[in-house]
Amino acid sequence: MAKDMKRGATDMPPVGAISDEQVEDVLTPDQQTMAGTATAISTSAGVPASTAAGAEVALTLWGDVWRRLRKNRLAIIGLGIVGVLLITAVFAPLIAPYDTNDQRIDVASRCSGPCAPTLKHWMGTDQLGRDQFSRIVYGARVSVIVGVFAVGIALALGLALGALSGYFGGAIDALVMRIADVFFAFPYVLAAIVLIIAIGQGVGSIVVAIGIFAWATIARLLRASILSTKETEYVEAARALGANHWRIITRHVMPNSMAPVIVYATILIGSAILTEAALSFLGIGVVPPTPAWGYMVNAGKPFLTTRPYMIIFPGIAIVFTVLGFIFLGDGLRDSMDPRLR
Amino acid sequence: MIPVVFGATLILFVMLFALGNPIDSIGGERNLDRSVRQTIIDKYHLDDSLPKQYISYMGNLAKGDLGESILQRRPVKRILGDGMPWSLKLALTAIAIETFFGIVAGVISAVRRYSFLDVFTTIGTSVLVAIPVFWLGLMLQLLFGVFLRNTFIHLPVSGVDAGWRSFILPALTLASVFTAITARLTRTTMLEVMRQDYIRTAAAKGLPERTIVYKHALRNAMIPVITNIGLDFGSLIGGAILTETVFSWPGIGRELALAVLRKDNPIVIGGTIILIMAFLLVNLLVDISYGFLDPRIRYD
Amino acid sequence: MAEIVEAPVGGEEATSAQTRLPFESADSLLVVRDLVVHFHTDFGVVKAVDGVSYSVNAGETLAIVGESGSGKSVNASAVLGLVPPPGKVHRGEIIFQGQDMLKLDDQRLREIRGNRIGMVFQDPLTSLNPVFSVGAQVSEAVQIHEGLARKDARERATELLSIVGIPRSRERFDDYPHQFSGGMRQRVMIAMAIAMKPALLIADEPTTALDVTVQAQILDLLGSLQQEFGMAMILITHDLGMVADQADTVAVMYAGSIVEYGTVDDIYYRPLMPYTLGLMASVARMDQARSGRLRPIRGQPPSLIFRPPGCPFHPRCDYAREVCWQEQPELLEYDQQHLAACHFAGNLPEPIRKDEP
Repeated sequence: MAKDMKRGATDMPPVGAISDEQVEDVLTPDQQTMAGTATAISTSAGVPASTAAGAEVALTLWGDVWRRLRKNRLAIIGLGIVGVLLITAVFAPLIAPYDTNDQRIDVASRCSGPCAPTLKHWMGTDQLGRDQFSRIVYGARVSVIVGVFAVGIALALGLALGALSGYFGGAIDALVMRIADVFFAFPYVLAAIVLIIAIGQGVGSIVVAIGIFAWATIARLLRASILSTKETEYVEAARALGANHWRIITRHVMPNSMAPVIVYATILIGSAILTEAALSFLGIGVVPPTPAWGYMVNAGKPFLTTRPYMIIFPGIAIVFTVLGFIFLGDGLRDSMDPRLR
Repeated sequence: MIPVVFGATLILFVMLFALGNPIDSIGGERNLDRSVRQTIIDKYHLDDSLPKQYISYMGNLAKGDLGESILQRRPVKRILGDGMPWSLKLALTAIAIETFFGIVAGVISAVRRYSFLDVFTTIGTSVLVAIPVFWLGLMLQLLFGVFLRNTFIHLPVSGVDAGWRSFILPALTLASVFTAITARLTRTTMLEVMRQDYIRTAAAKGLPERTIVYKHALRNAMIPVITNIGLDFGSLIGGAILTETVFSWPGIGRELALAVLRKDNPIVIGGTIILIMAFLLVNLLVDISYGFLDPRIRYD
Repeated sequence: MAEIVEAPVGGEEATSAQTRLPFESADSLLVVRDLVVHFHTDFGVVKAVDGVSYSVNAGETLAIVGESGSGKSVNASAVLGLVPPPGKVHRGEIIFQGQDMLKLDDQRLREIRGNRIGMVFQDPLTSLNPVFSVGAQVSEAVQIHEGLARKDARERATELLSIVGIPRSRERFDDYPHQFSGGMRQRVMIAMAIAMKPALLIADEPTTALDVTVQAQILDLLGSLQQEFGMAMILITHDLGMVADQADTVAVMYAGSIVEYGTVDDIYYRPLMPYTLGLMASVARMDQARSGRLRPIRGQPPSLIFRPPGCPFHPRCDYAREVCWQEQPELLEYDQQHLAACHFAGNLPEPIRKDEP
């Protein structure tokens, strides 16, 4: 629709038509979205600000984001790490050389506790003779489950409440934002601790705790984003054409307000994984013998001086996984808003 | 502020008393004998309706009654009171480290944009954010307590018996993530501020670059950075629980973590409430300091 | 085609503007020669200022007039060495009091900024630092160059604030920019700029962000300060009507170049170039009662990356002929001290568009 309006403008030159036409004719679509950057320069350098770019973004946003993301080395590293994590989690039984709960008393007693890495067990074994590498491979499953479900819950709550708040404003907005303030006051680890006391230990408690306490940030981000999107011309136009609230929210406002939420959600997956690891390290996360990285670090604590690799390997798994999500999130942010680079 | 306190305690209350079985919550998994059970029911008015229960719960809280530890047989208030100074000292040291190194790294990164130092800071801060606090603590223990045991930079890895040297590793561990976050935020904000018109005005006056960056730009960039240090206090509490546990630090965080494991729930509930109150208090202080940093708020 | 180019009317021999500028004299405070400023962006090189030459004599006012995007502001920032990145001065010289500003090191440049050249910017709200009091910001301008003690600087700053017409300046010293109105903020900016009684004041659209009622007051203030201190002034504006009383000479900029340059009377009463004509037609003139309705110039300023071939104004010009998009006209002297860059300067053909001339 924006396209039609612009074509119409060609016959009526006065407002903005010439510069738009020129930009469109000479620049590739990729560069057109970049015209957002040009606007920033134009005040000083005198490039005519292009209003066409804003209208074009909606059509090609994802294509452009991907094109720019591809050129960002850190983002690609992040994407690679996330890919490896997902493959490991899904195909854990095929990758892991041993059963994770295969306790080998003979192995353990030969090493009087955990064994150092060997060719057979190249990350060593734990105090019960279990293969560390296999346990790390299966540990990826816990991380993925926690990351996906916790962020899923947070997104569902945050998007619904944020959209209500931002789009309708007024009393609904005030109420939702006050509630958000309250949830915002809880640190995840504390919230999870309280919930674990109430409903018991386990992956479920962690997922629910992070999910219901992380929505507040998502709701705030979406609300702020909607408030700025709401006033744009294409939303005005949709409203003038008689589109109902639901349609305007789902078709016009949300897709254009999602960028900051997507960036945050990506990084939130990393922070959910960190929280799970922390709780498992404290001994109140996943229930043994489920292999989880934080729990493995905890189990290795008594052997810090003698068998430090028991702690080092699962720790590295956590660091790389979280780093993957951070790199990806940062890359997405840079791709979606080039001005922030 | 006040509504948030009520809201937060309400959520706590709902989670503990409505979702779980209150008596089990208070008594942990130990079987309580009938008379103790009755005492608890009377004390917390567990026969009453939920709203009434909430009011009496808040009443006890207002009187400072946090109950008694099941295992230690001491008032929770006393136990937490003993840990408070240690937690506070550790947190303040960490905040000082975070503020100083975070801002310095962020400013250097912004001023020397795209330089080696900037790239190093950008990647370094990502890595710091990704490292779990407890794992970093253990790695530092491994390095300074085991590998460097016989050298002069050997550092104490647990407890508080070695004076200020005891603070070094726990404080660095606790500050790590927040230093990284502060550095990144400072960089972004500085870059944003350096584009403002008033920076050009300062240059047109003939001020040297140093004055422009460290007076005119930094002062403006500090507003969101300081605010964020306050907001991050919540995560700092989470980090403190882990750091204190790893370094056997006699603070509230370690007490809380131990109590969770031992199901000594009065300590858990009391500790959680205290920490959330602390978080809200810090945010209030940030709101106030915001007015000092930004004259536009002060007079509005 | 050749015959069209051949004979510029006015009879005078066309001289190159490169050697000696039309208003340049021994008295010239500032001489800018062939200044080229480029911005290297993701889309290509923006030629914001493309070979501009002009001069300002001591105590006189040069008005640089043009639409937004004509390069007039960048040109002014270049004089102080304040072109924002990714901009770079590509070529040219900026001779101020006999020194080439482009060859000075940072230290020497800082001694001139705010001291011998003051600058007033367009938007006084964003141009004042929100976290420092206005008094502190004015004192700073004095302190940095005179090394005054804090108390003396405060005294001097208070005095400056009252010179620029801020009432109760002693009480308002510690107030913050957001507590002032737009006009008052611009007065504060002016106080900072004139703090050291500079020889040259550059005012970059000093009234654009202000209410119409305040605009005249600010212009009057600038005029009287100029008289009082004997400053030269470069007044940058998009409003040709505004500068009539103030300016001695006027340079009209279009697409990074000067397209017409002359005394204020020549530009007002004997414009040579269709763009200047258009600018004149688009302002309300007090001296010509009811001369018809205001006519905007159609279209938009051209992109500075993809400049139209030939005369950059031809796509918007009512008089454009074939030569106009084939050959770029040079800035030539058609009358004594009156230059224009137009193939038909002073000898405009019939307009091609139906609009009344």
